Amino acid sequence: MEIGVQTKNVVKDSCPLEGFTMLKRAGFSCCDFSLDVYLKNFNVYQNRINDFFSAPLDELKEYFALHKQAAQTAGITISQMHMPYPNYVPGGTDELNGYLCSVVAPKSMEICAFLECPYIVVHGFKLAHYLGSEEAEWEKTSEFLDSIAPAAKKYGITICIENLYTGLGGHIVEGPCCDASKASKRIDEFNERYGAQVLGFCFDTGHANLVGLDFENFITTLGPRLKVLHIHDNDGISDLHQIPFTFTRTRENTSSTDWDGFVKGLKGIGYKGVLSFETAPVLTAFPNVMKADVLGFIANIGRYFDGILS
Amino acid sequence: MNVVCHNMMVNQERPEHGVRDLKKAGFESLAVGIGVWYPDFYGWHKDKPIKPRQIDLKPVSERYEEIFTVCRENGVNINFAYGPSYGMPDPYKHRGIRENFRKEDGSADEAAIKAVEAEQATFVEKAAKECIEFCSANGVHYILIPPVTGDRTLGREWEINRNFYMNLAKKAKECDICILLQNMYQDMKGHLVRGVCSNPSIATEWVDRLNEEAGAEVFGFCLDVGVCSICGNDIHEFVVTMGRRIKAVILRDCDGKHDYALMPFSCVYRDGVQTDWMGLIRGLRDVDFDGELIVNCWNTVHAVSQLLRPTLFRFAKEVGDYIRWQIQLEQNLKKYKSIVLFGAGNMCRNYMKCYGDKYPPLFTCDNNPKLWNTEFEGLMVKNPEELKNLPDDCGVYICNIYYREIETQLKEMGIKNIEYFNDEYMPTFYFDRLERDEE
Repeated sequence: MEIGVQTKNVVKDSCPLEGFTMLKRAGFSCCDFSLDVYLKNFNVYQNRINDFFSAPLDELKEYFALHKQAAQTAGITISQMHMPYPNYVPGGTDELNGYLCSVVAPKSMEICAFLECPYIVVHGFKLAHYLGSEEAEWEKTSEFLDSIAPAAKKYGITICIENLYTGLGGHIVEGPCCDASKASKRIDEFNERYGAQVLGFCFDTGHANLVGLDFENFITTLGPRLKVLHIHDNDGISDLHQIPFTFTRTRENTSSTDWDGFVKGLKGIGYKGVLSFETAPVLTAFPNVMKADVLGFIANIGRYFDGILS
Repeated sequence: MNVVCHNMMVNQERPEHGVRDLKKAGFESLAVGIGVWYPDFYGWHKDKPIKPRQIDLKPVSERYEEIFTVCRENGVNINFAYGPSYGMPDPYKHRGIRENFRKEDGSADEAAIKAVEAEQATFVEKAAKECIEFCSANGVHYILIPPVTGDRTLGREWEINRNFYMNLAKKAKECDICILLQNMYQDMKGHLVRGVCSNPSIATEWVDRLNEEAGAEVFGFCLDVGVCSICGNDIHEFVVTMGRRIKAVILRDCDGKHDYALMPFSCVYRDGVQTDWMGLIRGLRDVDFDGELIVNCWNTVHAVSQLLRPTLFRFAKEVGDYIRWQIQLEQNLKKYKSIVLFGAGNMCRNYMKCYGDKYPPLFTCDNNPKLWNTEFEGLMVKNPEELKNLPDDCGVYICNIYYREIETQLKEMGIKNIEYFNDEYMPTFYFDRLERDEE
């Protein structure tokens, strides 16, 4: 199986080749292209929008041509990418939400196609609190997905919805797409309607751990709808995006994240996709001079998973 | 809907004092523990005859007669009981008991483990049947018997629990008792994660399958809000998925990380609650919940002085009553043939957006003369003096945060049928707030 990691904190716009080469040397063959760094979620929530995505599509393609070329030169496949998020801000202005849905999202699809990336991960809208139910929330997400699904069909891209969390007084509880059965039905409905694999799922291990999901059951329920992964670890309390196996909660010091369930689930469904790590924050936690070593260690964990799965 | 006091708030061995306190606090009902925690592997030793430790083998009727008598004497009703439960842990995970189940060659003695488990299952089943009979004889309708959990149930949860519950179904049916299952968490090496029946779709399937096999509605569900919080469940979704299968709700607060039973609304971070009370209230409203509402804040009770407990009990009762009132908010609107609102601000607007079509008021009124004879959210704003002309079957709903002042004003005017409306837990929320120039 192929092993991937985020480009965030590794691949720099000033010299993408350097970053992609570092990934390759560390043992990765794929990457999760961090398109979200060009419009950071923190700024979106603050209604501070930069004009990156306002540029004409040709200019954006030209901008990312360097990245595309560098990845190819280094031997890294752009196997998945993350669309900037959120795509809707509750209480945000019509102008803001209109821009996110009508400019950022479609241009992200175009960039995804340009980079020849088969999967793009999107966040469902977090609106259950306002609209009163998860069903009503999904309706809004569904409308958004319908706005980008034609492009997905046109370019052969699968949009992947991800299990998310939401905060409640500093306590994390389940957010959109935490019910695997519902997600599966919805994905099937979309794909049937479009006559193409326009929708799939991205299983995020860290988010699942935060709300105590049963990894094996969740992955098993998703089955072939599971297209991509966000592999990372945390203490079950905060979304820390750290290296798997690093968190323990007892004196026995055994991992408190259900990695056994994760592997069993993937094995059970015959997952053949990329083992992709969403561990960019690890690279800011360790000293910069250790970046290559840290990336190498993450890739080794990928190989460990691969060994069991194979 | 009964607001019930949890049993741990009363010392069951010396219940008189506690029962009197809770009665004085206004509780009319108590949830009583009549079960026994079977001591699984901890009480066994391979070289000694199998004999459970720390276990009271006296009949249920002897052990719990006193609390039932005291409750009867004090006019406290018991309609809900905590029955027996047991788990199936992996003995090899516990250093202290691992040796008891090791063969000469060092391997696991599976036969010995299974023998203990069988003994345990027989004991708990017998105890559960005894409890069911005892409940029936004492007018208790609901008995909570949580699903069997533990490492050794993994992958066989339904099979083990189906057998366990079906062995109790006949007795429950004969005794007209409803056995309640409950959502559980499990310990993932120190991290509490979702356990048996913590997925609402699966819990629903379990209850339905058990009832189908039993041939009657013998099984229901008790929703533990604390467990939902620990498992990070979307509580609204949990409730609406399970619907009327939920017969009881345990109201308790915790930080979502540890298994505590704290006073509802007391677990906060900065200025936000850590339990999704809104999801719970919205959900229970949606399904017209009309079961037992059990207030469990025994950790809070044990943390405060005995001298403060009567006050705490009163507060616990008020919290339970408040949650019941919020759940019944819409039912309350149906009480009167017609209604009128008091207040022409955000709360009035939220009323009109959420309930205006279903329960249209005749008009609203406000103390601000500048608003009189204007229209707000499709309602005519009138002088409060107009309330004096209302028919007897019309309710006046205060839609303003100055509840007590307005209530006093209305009472002084001789207005009857005064009710509170509240928009803290509306079915939906709107992002924009009404802003008016300060007067």
